[in-house]
Amino acid sequence: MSNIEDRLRLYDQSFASRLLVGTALYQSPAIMAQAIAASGSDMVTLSLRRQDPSNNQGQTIWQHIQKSSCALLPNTAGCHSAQEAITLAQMSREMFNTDFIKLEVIGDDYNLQPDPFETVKAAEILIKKGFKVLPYCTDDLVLCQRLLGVGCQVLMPWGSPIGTGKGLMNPYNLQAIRDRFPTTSMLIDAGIGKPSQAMAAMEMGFDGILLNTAIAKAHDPIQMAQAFAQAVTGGRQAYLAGLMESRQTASPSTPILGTPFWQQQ
Amino acid sequence: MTNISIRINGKDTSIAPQCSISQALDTRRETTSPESYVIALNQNFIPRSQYETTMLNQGDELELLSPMAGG
Repeated sequence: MSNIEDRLRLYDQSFASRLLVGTALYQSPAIMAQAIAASGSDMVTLSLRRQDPSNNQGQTIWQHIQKSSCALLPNTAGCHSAQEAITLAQMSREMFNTDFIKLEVIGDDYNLQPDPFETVKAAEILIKKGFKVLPYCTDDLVLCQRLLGVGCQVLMPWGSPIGTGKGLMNPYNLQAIRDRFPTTSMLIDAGIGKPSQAMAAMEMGFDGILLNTAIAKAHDPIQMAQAFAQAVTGGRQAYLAGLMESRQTASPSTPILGTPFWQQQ
Repeated sequence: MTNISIRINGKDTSIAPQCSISQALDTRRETTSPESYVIALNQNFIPRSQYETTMLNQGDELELLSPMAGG
């Protein structure tokens, strides 16, 4: 498959880049803008927060994002119930003029684990209201099944809890949902700390990566954005190329036939 | 008639009775464009098209939200 044809599909739209990036935690809006450009991302996440006329940081960030020409993926971060998430999604649609919503309903503040019950409930209602829901979820197969059942066309299981950088905490579960729903667009969202972890997820067949902290909190966010872009592309190419099967025992790569000296006795 | 008390982004605010959302926010127009925020009233989304027709009552809670960074 050529790279020209190999695009990330999210509902009825497709994107060249398989790396989605967040816009939070940067040292400055200018560095954020440069990191987004370096990442090559076509879609960025952002949020809505209480308007504070005494602090225009949000406005400055918003202006930079608008200049980036990236598609927008507003989130419902901070919501703890389906109703809160639905209201925030509706507000986001009016502000950002997009049907895309990263549905995030937190069930526990200790590890920011998504609430599966409220997430499914919110997803079902939002899809009926015409939203293109990208649900942040755990790697639970049945939860993924329920989300697909209410109409989600994209799933975003966590790699590990938000902001931990622990990577793919449960590869078995992730591989299970990847194998169980082979045609569903699936992005790993949250917990990715290193480019190698992003690459590993892509090699497993995930369709994309959504991350924020690993780039924003790097010593050099712009360079790290480039590193993640290359890792995601490399991982995708490896998946498409088809990985060799691992073996328990060694097998020489150099031909044995014609080996000089000692085998000839 | 005496003013009524509502909360805007968590802060108590006194407004005239029988006031629409538009009227209640008139004083903000000098510093803030209405396009820069979206509104929820008592945790329910209110589209911009309804700001003029939605009346506020004692104890109502308005949330005015604007774009911010997010992950």
